[in-house]
Amino acid sequence: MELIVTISEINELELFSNASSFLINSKVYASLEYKTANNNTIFRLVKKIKELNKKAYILIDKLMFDEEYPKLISFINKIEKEGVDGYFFSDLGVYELLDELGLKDKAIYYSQTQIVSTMEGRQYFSLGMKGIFASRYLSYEKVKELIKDVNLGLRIFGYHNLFYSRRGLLTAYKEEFNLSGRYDRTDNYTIKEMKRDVKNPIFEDTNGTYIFTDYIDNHFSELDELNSLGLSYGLIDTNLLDDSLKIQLNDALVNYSKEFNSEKRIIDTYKVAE
Amino acid sequence: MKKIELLAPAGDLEKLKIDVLYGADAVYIGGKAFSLRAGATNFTKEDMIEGVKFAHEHGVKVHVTFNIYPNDGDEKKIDEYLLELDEIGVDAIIVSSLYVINRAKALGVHYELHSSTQESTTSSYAVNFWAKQGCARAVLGREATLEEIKRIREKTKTDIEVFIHGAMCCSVSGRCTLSNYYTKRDANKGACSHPCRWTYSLYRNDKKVTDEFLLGSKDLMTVDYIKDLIEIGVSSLKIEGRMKSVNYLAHVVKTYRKLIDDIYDNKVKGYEEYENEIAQSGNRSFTKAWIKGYTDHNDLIYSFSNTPLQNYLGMILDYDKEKHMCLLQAKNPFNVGDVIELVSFKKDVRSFIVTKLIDEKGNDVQSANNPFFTYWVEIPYEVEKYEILRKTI
Repeated sequence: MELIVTISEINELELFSNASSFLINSKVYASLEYKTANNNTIFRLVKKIKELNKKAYILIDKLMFDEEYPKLISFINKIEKEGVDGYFFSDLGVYELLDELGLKDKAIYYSQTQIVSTMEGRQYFSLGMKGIFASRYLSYEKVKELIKDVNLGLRIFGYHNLFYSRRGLLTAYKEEFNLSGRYDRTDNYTIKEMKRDVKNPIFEDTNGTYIFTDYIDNHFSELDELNSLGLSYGLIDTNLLDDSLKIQLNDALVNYSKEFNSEKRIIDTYKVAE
Repeated sequence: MKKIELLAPAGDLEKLKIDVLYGADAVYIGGKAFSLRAGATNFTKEDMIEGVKFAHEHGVKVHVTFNIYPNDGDEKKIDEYLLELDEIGVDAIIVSSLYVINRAKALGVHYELHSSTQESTTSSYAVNFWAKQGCARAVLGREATLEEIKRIREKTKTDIEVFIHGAMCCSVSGRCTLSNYYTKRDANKGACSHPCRWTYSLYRNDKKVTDEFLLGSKDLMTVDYIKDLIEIGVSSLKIEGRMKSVNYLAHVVKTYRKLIDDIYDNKVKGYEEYENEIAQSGNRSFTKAWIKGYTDHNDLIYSFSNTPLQNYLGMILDYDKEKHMCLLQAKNPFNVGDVIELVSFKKDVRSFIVTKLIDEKGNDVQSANNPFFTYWVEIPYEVEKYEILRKTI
């Protein structure tokens, strides 16, 4: 199993010194711009990661449109020279491009809702991809079944993205009601459904609006089991996490600490509908 | 030049017939299994056989939605269903699952495979991906703008299908798990509980901003973009709404049918008449959404206070030519003396004054005021089953 930590800044290489693989949030191609790296930073990060003999992946998970592909092609052609280990994508158009570029063996399908069965996972592996992630909303039992049969990857830590809209919903609300002050990303916005007690983080950027779980999805205590079943990748998503938690995370990476279980787990409360 | 296809939704056999009679070139339906609208009545095998027969007799194609991601253990049922659809003679299935696509190919079925909007296809690269897997058509994501659709068309030869009308997910369709999270109802298994239509409190740095924060989009209506989509070379124009009413389908399908025909005949002078006709289908507010190139606050819903129109009086079940009376399945009340309108399959809307009403017991009555009862209504025009009556607004 390869544990991969999302990063966007050079100093995070030190912060996550115990990590051996990194997924770089691209400012241009990652769907969530909470913390991202511009192309210059990505080049510096990849170079540095390779100097440290670690693995570097690039996150390209936004919805992609034709006008964005020429720049993406140019970017991939350049970053390839730095020895990038793979590209996480969610839009199958990106896989098509990687295939055209002869890079499908570096394509990692960062599936959103598609991979819910072993039969589906096998079909995507048969296309020659390097890796495939299980869908975001499966029960732990279901995940174990899948991993046993097809060596999928899994998000093992982080806030769970529930909703992604291309629309700027917070800005639109301000416009509709002529509220003073522009929408400011440095503020923390949450929404609460009337009949429920939880507040869900909501975030807007130039790609759209996102809503997250109120809790951190944490599979650290199951890592040994997942590893023994054949989990290929465990992704630690550091978006929205505060710095103190990041330090704890780095410590946990040393031995997949079973004690590292500070938040309630999605797997107990969140089952896929049958 | 091949005329663009008008593709309409049908939640049951009656709605399929409405679509066909009011001018759809193709309909899409769901079976009892593997379809994304668990709340729709959907089609039994027998209904599907009858629906396909009826559609084909009228030169209309039938597409079947097969756009869930199936579970392990469904393999045998999937094969059986794929072969059953082939035997029934459907023209296409709409799919999301690569497994289903590959099984359909392996079984040698004769119908086309169309990739579903659940895949959020928004580029020619993504269209080409699905084409390589064997799809003859890609249904585009509703996030694509007119310019983006044009670029896709220019760079791929595969048929593309575009949503032109109906309710919209505010999120990227295949990426939303709000329903799973809040209600454990799986949106990708056809059981979405529509949390984007709920009301939320919004907080900024833990301080309440409002108790009326909504996520929902207004409904899509694109009458003034149909000409562009035809010129671009889109293959099919899709109307959303397998769970929508007969009244909605009749008005929306008839209006887009007329608009498309008028565009080809170079008869369109403006779009107001088409917009007005569509407004008869229900009291929902409309948006051009992404097709115009951007979205803002004008495209979103900020209130659910709309009251029903109640203009739909009912569907005609029978016609007595000698007595000039039609049998109406009533839905909303009306009276003798009211000016009402007949919405026919092919003719323009015609008004008349209600002169005689007979209830189910054979009594002359002044009002048709029992919804779901049938009434004989005197009518000065020849009518057919499935035509509808409405109030003049």
